[in-house]
Amino acid sequence: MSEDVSVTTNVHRMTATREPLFRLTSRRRWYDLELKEIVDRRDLLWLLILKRIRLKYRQTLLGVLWTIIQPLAPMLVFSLVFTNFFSGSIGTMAYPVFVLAGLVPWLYFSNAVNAGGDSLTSQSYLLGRVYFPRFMLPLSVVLSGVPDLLIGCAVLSIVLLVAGMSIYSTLLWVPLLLLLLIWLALSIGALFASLTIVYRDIRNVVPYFLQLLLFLTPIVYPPEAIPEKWSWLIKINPLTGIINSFRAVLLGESPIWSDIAASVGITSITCIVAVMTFVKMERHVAD
Amino acid sequence: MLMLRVENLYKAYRYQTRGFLFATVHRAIARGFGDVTSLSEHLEDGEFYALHDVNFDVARGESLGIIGSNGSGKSTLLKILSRISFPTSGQVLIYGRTGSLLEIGGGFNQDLTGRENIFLLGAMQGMKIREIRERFDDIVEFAGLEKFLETQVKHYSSGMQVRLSFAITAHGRPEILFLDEVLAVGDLDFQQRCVEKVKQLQQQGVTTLFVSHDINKMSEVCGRAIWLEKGVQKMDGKVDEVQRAYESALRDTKQ
Repeated sequence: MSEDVSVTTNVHRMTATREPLFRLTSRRRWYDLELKEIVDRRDLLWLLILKRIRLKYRQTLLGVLWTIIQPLAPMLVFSLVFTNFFSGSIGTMAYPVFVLAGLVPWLYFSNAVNAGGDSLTSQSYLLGRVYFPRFMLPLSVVLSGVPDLLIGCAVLSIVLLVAGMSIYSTLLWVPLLLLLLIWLALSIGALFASLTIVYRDIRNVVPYFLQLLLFLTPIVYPPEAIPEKWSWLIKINPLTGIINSFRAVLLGESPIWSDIAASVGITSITCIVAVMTFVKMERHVAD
Repeated sequence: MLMLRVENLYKAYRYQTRGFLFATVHRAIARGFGDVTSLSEHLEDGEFYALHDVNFDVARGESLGIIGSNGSGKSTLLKILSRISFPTSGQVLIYGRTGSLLEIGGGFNQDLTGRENIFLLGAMQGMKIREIRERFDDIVEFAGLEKFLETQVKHYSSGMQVRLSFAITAHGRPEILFLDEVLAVGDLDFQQRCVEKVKQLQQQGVTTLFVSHDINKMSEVCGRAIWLEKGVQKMDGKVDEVQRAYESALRDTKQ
């Protein structure tokens, strides 16, 4: 018997009469996020989004009230500190409204990037056990914040009415601005998520990055407050265009198209880098 | 009818983890000197093959067992086939919907209820929400968890979790089913039910791939077996022939 042991058997090949459903190889195209499969399996995407929303409000004391408090509390604090400081330079908008209009998109962005960056490592127990397109995880995390974003917008519109401001038809631009915001949050979140798989220290970088970005975004201050020499720092920040235009449409003006164009450009570049990194890093998830 | 083809499959793993900078610079220098020609021929420093040139075809309805001692690469193979891990070189062609059960009992979100987890895991196994609704009662009945559907899974015993994850996978109606050591968990009664369920699926034409180091249990559900040793495919044949060779090799090493 023992001579059998060292013999490698010949391979018995069958004839393949059709195209395979999947072809698993070492290489994948740099842009291949398996979007087709994500669309096919949208039920799973929906359940992942639902799961996050459920878990967020399960076993909480305040429930949805938290979502309302989240932008209002910093609005009050910033108003207390900065109203006198900036009220001369922000035009017709009352400072509390001004700061809230910046905080609502910012809080969505920062929560989405934080949770999106964690989305692969925090669920690694799943990744080693069952296959589904990995991009679904950051995607579901970023989308699951959208209801909160909409609640934030509702809070903002109540504050607008309380402040005695009119509601303008330019508000119809808001969905477009929010879409751009979600796209940006998804790109940066997915980028951090994929980097965190291989380099665990990225995890500590994310909150740090967000903190710096908060100060480099005209949220508590108007863009004009930055010295001319350094204003490019604000201009290359893709959030600037979104937030400035968000405030503009609240006042009945049209979005600031030059800022929006810059924002779309930088978001596109970020998105391409994120996709390339994600596809490259994704394979290290289970190894 | 061909359901699965594995062609010149290699998988290299790194046994040393190094910092990013060191590894990148090192690789760039090695490439610059033409050191790395083809991965199937040359390993980079600090790497080893978990799978080395594995080749086989599986036909529809066939039940293939993969046997080998610890570290032989059988779980790695199953991970690649279930698309969790990537090949280093070579390719795998899959001709049907797959379902896989690796590390049974895992994958649940502990804070969600049993009901919520059935939907989530069912969808991960490729079912649509409508299909999960249709098979929901069957899944619950097979797992025997009727009373605990609204309980968070963290309060389940490990046996309950094992039963539930097997039930979900078995009801996913895969055409190819990958099972890793699953018949070795749970109590005897449940093990027996699993074996019967696997046999029932096989009769329905489901192709099964089954990994174990327990060849006796394997011969119960498999007709054919592949024996892996240190990532190399040593034998591919009828399960009793492979069993005899494998056992005699085990005796030889013990002596």
